[in-house]
Amino acid sequence: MASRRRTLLKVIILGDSGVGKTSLMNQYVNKKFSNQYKATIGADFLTKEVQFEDRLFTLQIWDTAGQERFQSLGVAFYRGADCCVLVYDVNSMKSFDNLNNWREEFLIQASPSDPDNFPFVLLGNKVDVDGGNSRVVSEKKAKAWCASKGNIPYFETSAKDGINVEEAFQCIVKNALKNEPEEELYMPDTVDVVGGNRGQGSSGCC
Amino acid sequence: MFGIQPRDVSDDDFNPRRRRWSLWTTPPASMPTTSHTSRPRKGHANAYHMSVKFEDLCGFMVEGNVDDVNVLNEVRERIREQGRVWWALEASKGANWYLQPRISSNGGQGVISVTSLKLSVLTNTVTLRRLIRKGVPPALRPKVWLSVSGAAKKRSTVPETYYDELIRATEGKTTPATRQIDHDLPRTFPCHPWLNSEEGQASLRRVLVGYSFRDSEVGYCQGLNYVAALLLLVMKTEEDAFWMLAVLLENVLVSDCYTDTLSGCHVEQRVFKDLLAKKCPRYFFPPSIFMLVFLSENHAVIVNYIRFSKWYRIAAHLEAMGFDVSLVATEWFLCLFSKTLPSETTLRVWDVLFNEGAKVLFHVALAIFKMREDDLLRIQHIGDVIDVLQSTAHHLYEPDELLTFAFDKIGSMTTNTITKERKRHETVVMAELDQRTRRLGSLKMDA
Repeated sequence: MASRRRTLLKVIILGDSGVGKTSLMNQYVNKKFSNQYKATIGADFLTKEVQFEDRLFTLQIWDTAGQERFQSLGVAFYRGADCCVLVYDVNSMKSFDNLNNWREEFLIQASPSDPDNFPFVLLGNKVDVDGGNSRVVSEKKAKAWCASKGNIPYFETSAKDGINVEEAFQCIVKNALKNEPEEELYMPDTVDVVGGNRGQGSSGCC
Repeated sequence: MFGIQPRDVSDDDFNPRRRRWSLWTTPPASMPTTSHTSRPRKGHANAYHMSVKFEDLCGFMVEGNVDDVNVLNEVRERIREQGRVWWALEASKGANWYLQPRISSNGGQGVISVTSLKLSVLTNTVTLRRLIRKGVPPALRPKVWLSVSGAAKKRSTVPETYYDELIRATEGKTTPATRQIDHDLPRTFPCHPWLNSEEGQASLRRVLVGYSFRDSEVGYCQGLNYVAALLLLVMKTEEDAFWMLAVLLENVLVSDCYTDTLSGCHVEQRVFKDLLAKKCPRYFFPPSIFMLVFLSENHAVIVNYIRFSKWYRIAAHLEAMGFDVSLVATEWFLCLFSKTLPSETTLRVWDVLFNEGAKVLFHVALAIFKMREDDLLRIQHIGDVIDVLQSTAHHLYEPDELLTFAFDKIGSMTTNTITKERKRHETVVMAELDQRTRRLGSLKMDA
């Protein structure tokens, strides 16, 4: 039996403090939500094995500190990222307004080879709060921002209730693979995926 | 006596009221899939893997294995013994002997001139240094910390009402700092019942908000919440915790560690990186190196020996992998290990930090790497390096194990050398931060 080859995909989650970066990561990886996460300092990461188009990948998700001054520490964390996930809280205009800063800071510090086509995904989190009544950023506004940045895929999520989290990360994986050079991606005769598919087709993001 | 309870994997949110201390005998709900040990552990092999939740020496509800609980019990016993040593010294040297003038290695606070040096002062300084490295008894920590750090002296220069007035002046005011503090209060050690209570969070808020008004350049920086929280637990009173926080940021640590670009933190990371790569003093080499020097005229042998010494190889190996120390050290240096090490171990590090200065952080950071050097050399992925270092640190329930490495196996480094290194890196860091600001500015212009 051919050995199973794995490829590492590095994903960075950025956004203001308290928008739910740690919760989104934990909901996706551990299928759990807790009110007791500690504020992240520096960065933390979780990994998850994911299957995409019959290939197996190790998805390494990096969760970062949200306070603005931590942006200056990004170089080491951002290096080698395959996709950048921007998160804002739909109930906080400031967290939405800061998305530009996070995006620019990422592009400067990660210095991707093709900044114009580097894959970003935007998540509007906490849609569960107050039944949506405290929401201040409309879906339309968020989508307009995404369109202005080269059609960034957008998802409205609730890390608490697990809404759209799986779908969003499927899209993140798909996008992380988009800009990979062909030779690194294509590994003939070495992929032997065991187990069933987990329904990848409906990410609806691209 | 200490008890343990099986970890309920389905219950991620810990409920402090659900505490039932009983020695657990049933099979565990889950087995950790990976385990990293830094030394051979005692106890039954299976028991070691069992994951349990227990209360540590500072009242934090933590998750570990049965052996961690056993180690903690031994530590608790040793703290009692160490307490007896301190009481015996009080009896012979007089109460508060450690509060008398001494030679300070901690940057100017309470320093006496060499001309007025008395033998008794020298003896006390040496004794105190040795004693503090073995640990300050929890009951004496507030008094000893205030004294050796210089916090007591700092407080004595302002009116007694300073703290109360400062807090009164901050009431009802909202600033970016207070907003961030309010965000972080419920996310600061929620695993500690008091810090998770309204009373604890109100107390922590006053200390952090108070400091943010005292130093507007720092304001509030994430990480300080963990430091202040642990200070509160040790110092017992808000005011003492506040002064310890002040002396830390203003005197003990390198400046600008927590200001808007965290430039001081950048500098510390660079110095640490160099230490990891270059610090190969004789101490690192087994005695045979000295034999080689005498016996061999072939210098190449010695050079090769040094080049391929483990320490050098670790730095080179990590570098080749693309691992940057900031991936782990950012949290270590900004939280002063409070979010990384078990609480009593952190407090033992702080005992020495307050007495000997910020270089202690390098000793401890180097020790964590050094403890796992063989494993680190085998690892090929950055993620695994971080995993090994973090899980090693999380399980360091035995403070002496860490401190022995930190001070006996790392070799000495003088504050002067570190200061020179900091100066060297400061210029580069400031230039890089400037460049980043300019690039951000031009990107905004383009947009």
